Amino acid sequence: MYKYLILFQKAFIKSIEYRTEILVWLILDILPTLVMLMIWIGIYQGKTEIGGYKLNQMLQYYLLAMVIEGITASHFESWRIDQIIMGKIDYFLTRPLSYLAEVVLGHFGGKFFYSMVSLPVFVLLWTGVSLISPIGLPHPNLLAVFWFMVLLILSSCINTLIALFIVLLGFWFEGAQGLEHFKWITLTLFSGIMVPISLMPIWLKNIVNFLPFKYLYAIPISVIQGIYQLTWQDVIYLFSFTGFLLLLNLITWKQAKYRYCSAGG
Amino acid sequence: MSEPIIQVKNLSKYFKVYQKKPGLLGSVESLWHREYQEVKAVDDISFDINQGEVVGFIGQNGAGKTTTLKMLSGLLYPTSGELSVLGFNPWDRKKEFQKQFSLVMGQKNQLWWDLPAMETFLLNQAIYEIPKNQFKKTLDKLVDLLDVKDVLHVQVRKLSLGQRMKCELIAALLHNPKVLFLDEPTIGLDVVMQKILRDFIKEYNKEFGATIILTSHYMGDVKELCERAIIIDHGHKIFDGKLQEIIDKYARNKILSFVFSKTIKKEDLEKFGTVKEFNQDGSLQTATILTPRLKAAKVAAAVLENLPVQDVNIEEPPIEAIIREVFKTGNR
Amino acid sequence: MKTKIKKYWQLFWYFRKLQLMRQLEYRTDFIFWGFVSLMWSGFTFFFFSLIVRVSGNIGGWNEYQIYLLISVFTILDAFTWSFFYHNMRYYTNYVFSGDLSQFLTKPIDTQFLMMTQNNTYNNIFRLIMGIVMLLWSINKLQLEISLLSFVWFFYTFIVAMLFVYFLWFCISTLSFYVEKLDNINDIIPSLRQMWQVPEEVYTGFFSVLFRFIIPLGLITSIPTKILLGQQPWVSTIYLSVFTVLMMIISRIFFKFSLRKYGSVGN
Repeated sequence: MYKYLILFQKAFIKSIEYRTEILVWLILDILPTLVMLMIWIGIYQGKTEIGGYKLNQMLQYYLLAMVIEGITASHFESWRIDQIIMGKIDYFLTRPLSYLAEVVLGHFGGKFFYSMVSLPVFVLLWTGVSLISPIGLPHPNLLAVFWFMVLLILSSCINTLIALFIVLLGFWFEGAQGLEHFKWITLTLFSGIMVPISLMPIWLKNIVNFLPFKYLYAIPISVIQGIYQLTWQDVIYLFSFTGFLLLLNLITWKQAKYRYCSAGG
Repeated sequence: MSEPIIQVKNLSKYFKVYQKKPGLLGSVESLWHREYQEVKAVDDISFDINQGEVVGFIGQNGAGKTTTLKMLSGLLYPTSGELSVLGFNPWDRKKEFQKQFSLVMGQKNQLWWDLPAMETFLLNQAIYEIPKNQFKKTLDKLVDLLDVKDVLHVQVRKLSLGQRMKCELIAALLHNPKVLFLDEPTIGLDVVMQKILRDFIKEYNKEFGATIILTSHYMGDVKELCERAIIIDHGHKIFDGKLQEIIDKYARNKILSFVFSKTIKKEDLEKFGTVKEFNQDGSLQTATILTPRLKAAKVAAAVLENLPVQDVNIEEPPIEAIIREVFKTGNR
Repeated sequence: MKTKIKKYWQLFWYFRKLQLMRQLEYRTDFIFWGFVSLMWSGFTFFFFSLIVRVSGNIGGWNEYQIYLLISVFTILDAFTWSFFYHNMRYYTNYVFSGDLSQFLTKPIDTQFLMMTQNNTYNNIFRLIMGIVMLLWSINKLQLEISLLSFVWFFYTFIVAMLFVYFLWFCISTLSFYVEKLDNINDIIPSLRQMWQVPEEVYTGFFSVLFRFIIPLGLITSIPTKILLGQQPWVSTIYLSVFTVLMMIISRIFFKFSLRKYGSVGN
């Protein structure tokens, strides 16, 4: 158990070393959100409500999306696959430590650091924006906050598991790196990070409601804004999906190990 | 006597190296405070090199050889001192200067990986503005010397390491440089390739009359190619002169090897000098002894007279051993 | 002087030829990334269509005016990804790894080498998509574009492109000053959002920031406005001056950084 803690800590230290990079990511994450906020402030001139959202709710939506993305998104597919292709993971496979644990804990260690550093920045940003336009704060009840936390944790797991699966596919073909792009397009289209669900055309709404990706952004934001209450169907669906991803990864990893070792790395 | 083509006076190069303590605490501490120490990579070096000379820089890793070469190429700005190559200050990086020298650094490559070497050659022709006729003539000569006619149009990534090195050399020499800097040219190559490369460099110097400085920690390179050697240790020049002088000055012993037709006793041989090896090889007895240089001939004669010698050989100790001696005795 | 320009002109196109030969070696790569680039550009159009659908306009620009802007953006994007990105990536890699040395000994301007050596061709599909959408939007808006307008548009487009390029080069040159920064090449690509929208979106403080101090907001808006029949003289001149300034700054900064590179060692 201790060795996993060390892995986590190692990733955390690594993040301190890469602090300039992290600072840059932070700034880069803020800018697109800023542009979206400005677009909507402009759009709402002369209007009080669009798609069931008031201006301040809309602004909250995008800021919350930014916060959620910072905490839950995964970006490690590219360089992890690079390592696999170049045969650099031999080191990991000969240690008494699961490669999966290495990838997952490495990711979370870095995320923890990022979240620590970014939270105060987000607070500053929120304050800054409220100076331009009264954005206010959502007033969720305790239950909503609880479910929001649960959703964040699950969202984090789902994001990590999807990324991990893409990494594992790298054992079979080099082009797996390109899959990251398909992941982002899928998430952007079907998770609600782009626009709130109520603003989508009917055909897109139907797809989004059917797929599980709405639980990554649209649902958590709606929950914390008090617009939506989680039902037990949601919970079952979500846990099943997470379980499915977990199983998928475990099975794929078994095959991947076999393939890597038989192909000679 | 014309002026030396390379003139170096009191050249020094100092670097600042930052340090970080390990662990989490060290990482956090390094956020606002980092300790550094000054490293004297090159410390007050002076030498002159004339046209056509082939000079070897000998030294251990980190001695300052590559740093000196980089200053001569204009890549590094000296901390102090003066230097001039072909009448230019290398640091100015004037185009006229760059067209007359070439720097080849061991494993670094300039050939485009996915294309045939010929494409890089043509690119260099454009960059160095080499006239068409001269380009063809030089290329043909180099290709001939290195025997790579068949690989010029094969993608570089498909070539063996040896073939790649040869093409890298050609790319570096297409513009007929008057001065050639070779940094660890045979590193990573097998024995056969090393010989081929050394022969080529010798030929090139003879054919084109280029001045060559090469750094190496392979003594074989220096032995084969350089009449003159400059030994650098911890940034200082501790020897500059003919290679033979080093041998004469620092090689205290010679090695005598014998093959005996009959078995002899070790004590019998020990009378003549320090016995280094004493073996029974089937029916033959072989042995080597060390004797002081000046006495070598006399001792050999004595052994021949007193013991049943079938074959004898007198050799210098390997130059590596000699150089190690030089370093052991420290700075002059 | 004339032969010097000729030499660099020839070298520039020679690099393009060499890169084409390289690209042809990796045909699947070409198709794959071509497809990915089309996917992203298509997505951009879709994204803004969603917003315009509910809002009617963005920054006062109507639906097809927005599409026109995005078309200009897409064409610029094609160059950004196939030319700028690769040069900057290799440039920063050379600086971080120390391989820059091999270029410093060649009798050719190092900045020129760093800025022009690399490119890919797989954004050709994106370029075509951008041009098609541009023509489609012009048709939908029933615009009549005079020769003068077209020349003016072309000029401002080139200026905008150069502005992005020199700005990117300056940022990449920061690689001399940090030990390692993996995402240094993601800075400008992430900023692209800033010129994906009309300049009128920026109000108040941000208007001053993005239309004046660092005129990122003008990049696509100015050329598009010319196509729309407007005559943004002041902005054109301002952007031109700014670009020339960026060019000069990039050169001075690069030369200064090279000097530092030589004194600290590699």
